[in-house]
Order: sequence, then C-alpha cells, then structure tokens
Amino acid sequence: MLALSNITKSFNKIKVIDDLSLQIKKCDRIAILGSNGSGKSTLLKIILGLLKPDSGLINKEDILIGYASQNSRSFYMRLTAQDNLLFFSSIYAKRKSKIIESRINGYADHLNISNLLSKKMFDLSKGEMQKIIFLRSLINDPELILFDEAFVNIDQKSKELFSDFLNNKLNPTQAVLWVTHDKKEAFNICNKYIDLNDDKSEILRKCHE
Amino acid sequence: MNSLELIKVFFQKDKKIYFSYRFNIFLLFVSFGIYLSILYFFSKLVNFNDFINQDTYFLYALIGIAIADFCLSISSGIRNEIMTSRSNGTFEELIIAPYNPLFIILLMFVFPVFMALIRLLFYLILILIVSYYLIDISYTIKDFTIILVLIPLSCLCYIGVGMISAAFVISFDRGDPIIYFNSAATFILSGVFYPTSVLWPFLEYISRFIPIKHVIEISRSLAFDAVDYNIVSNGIISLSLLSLIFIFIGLLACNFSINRAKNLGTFGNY
Repeated sequence: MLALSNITKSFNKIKVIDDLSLQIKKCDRIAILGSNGSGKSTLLKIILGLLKPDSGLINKEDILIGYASQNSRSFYMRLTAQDNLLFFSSIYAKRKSKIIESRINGYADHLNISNLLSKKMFDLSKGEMQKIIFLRSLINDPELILFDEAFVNIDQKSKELFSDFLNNKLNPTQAVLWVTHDKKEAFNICNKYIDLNDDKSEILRKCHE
Repeated sequence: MNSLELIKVFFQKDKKIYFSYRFNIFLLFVSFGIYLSILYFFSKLVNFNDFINQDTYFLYALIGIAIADFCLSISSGIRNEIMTSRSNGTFEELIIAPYNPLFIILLMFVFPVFMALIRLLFYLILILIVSYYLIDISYTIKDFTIILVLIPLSCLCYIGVGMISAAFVISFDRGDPIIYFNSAATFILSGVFYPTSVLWPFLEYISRFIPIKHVIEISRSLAFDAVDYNIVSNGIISLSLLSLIFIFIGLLACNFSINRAKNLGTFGNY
C-alpha cells in the first residue's frame, strides 16, 4: 500500500533521514523507534505529504491515511470535541458518510471518552485532547494510521485501554505506523520495528527477536 | 466529498466559531456606530466643490468606506485565517486532507468572503437610507444591475490579492508586505475620502492599477452624476483585466509558497 525507497532528508545540511527504505503492507503494525531528533516525525510528515524528501521515491496507493499528531492543540478550541471530529472526518473522507456520527459515538464508547464529546476543546486537559486526537485518526476507517507519540500526556489506565483497542478492536487489515521512543509501548502494539538510531535503519525487525 | 459539500462544511465550522464570540460581535456594531458618527460630524466641515459639499460628503465618503471595507476584508481575511490556523495548530491538519492544498486554502476564503458581503449589505442599506432621506437621491434598476456586476468582479480581484498575501504568510510567517501596501494604496490612492483628481499626476496614473479605484469611481457616478456608460464599461474592463492578473499571480504565488513549505517543512510554523 505504501513504499518508500531510498528516502533522504536534510535540514540545514544535517541529514535527518539517510537512505531509508520501507514497505508498508496491509495488516502491518510497524513501530518507528529512535531518540529525540532521529527523524521519526519527519518520516511521518514525508508520508503525509507535508514534507518533500531531498531524494528518494514514495509510491503510495490511493489509500486513506489517518494521523494522530503529537500536537494536542490541533483543534478548533471554540468548538466541541464532537464538532471538531465531525469537521475533520468530513474533510478527510473522500466520500460523504452518513454513519460518521454513530461511528464517532461507537469508538468513543470503546475508548471510554464519550463524556468528552460534548465539551468545548478549551475545557479539556492536554491528555483529554490527546485522546480526541487518537479518536480523530480512527473515525474514517483509514487503511493506514500514523501515530506520532500518541500516548504522550495520556494516563496509564487509558494507555492500556487504547492499546487493547488497537490490538483487539481495530480491523486487522488496517496498517499501523507507531512512532515512539518507548520500546515497551511499541512492542505492546506492533510486530515489527525500525530503529532510526541504528546504522542499518532500513532493516525491519520482528519485535520479539 | 464534492466541492459544494466541502464549502458547506468549512462555512458551518467558521460560522460556529465566529458566533461563539458574541460579545465581540456586539462590540463590532458599537464601533461601527461610533465610526459613522465621527464621519457624519466630520463631513459637516467639508466643502470640496459644488457637487461635494457638506450635505453630500457623508454619502461620498460612506461609499468609499463601504467598498474599502469590503475589499480589505476579503484580502486580509484569508491571511488572518491562515495565521490563526497555524498558531492553533490546525493548518497542518487541514493540509493533509486528500485534496490539493491550494483548494483547501481557497476553502478558507469562504467565510471571510461571506462576512465581507454581509458587511457590504449593511453599508448598502445605510447608503440607500442616507441617499433617500438626507440627500434625496434615488437609484434605478440599472444602477443595481451595475452594482451586481461590480461586486463579484471586485471580489475576484481581492481574492487574488488575498492569495498573494496568503502566499507571503505561508512563506514568511508574519512578514506580509501586501497587507500594508494594500491598505496604503486603498486609503491614499483609491479615492476613498477624496477624488483621485487631487493626487499628483504620477500618483493618479498609478491609481489606475488599483482595482478599488474603479469600483469607487463607478459607484459614486451612480450616486452623484448621470451614469456615464463610458466610465462604467471602461471601469468594468479594467476590473476584469485586473481580476485575471491578480488571480493568476495569486495562484502562482500560493503554489510557490506551498512547495517551499513542503521543502522546508514549515507548514506548522508561525
């Protein structure tokens, strides 16, 4: 569904991503590991089309991509969480969907955040906003979901609930790219990983090797 | 989703945000009243010539201000939308939608243009009241037809200017010279408060390239003179040409700034 070949990206002559190749297929659950500044978020931005690589090829099928950014304030603060979710789901969907509202309620129920939907965004804590971001990335049932440090600011109990949701409730054909610096968190959700700190960063390893 | 559905979605979102600031809307009406009162009393001091005297200057300036407000609201509206969107972190979220980023930027114009039209409507009602009750001028159907042609043309022109302004904001964050040039050109060279004939000849020549000058000139001719169709048709031709030029430059500039932001990864900067 998505293939990156020999991607290189530099900022101010410093190579952040160096000759990275990666193939993402249906059902893949891939963790992108690496320390701060190792290029994890840059890689996601390249996949999303927010950033052009200096060199390399991106081969992307006509797929819907969901994105959970680490910017918890990426909402319209004067609107309710429900209004934000309805707006973003409308502009991310290629077709109009009548069931979107019931899908939002269904996912919110599963994630135990139904009580947040009617609140205005400025009334939510950072962790609660992050939960809404998590939900936003799911509502259009995208074929590929990119999570960028998705558990930042989220409490332990909710982390377990959300991990359980990803492992058991998510459609198995949906591919996941999970960006984090926390190996334990990544291995709990993914079955393969790439460590961007590794010299041979293009090698996809199995999580329990 | 098709374009109309997307326009509706953006419009409803922006409308909800706008009307959530209720006290601000009330203050806008108050400031509008204060501004008009100042203009009304100030106009009592003015005596340009036989046509523009203290009785008619209020209407003369009101027409200029109505058009200036309309055009400036459109051209600065999109810039403000992009700046707000970048500072609250939603700009990147909009750009990743599965549409051309330029189309998304154009969708951000929908509500500012609508609000500019609503404000213009308020001004037009006021102009009609002032014309009829204070100066005894009435308008014909032909006058309204000309106005209906002028509004979309000036709208297109200033959407073009707004796109150039948006391109600067995307590339240089707050560094947008267009907003300053546009305001200066509008208030100094376009004849908002005085006829362009009082300008130095080379400034009067430059004013021909400012779209709002033609809109003001035609609109005033409807109010104060017998309609000169030569002025009207020349003005409409100039406006059409300027619309094409500004929209073309606006599209090029926006495309350039989007590509630049993609290379540098600066969509989220502000």
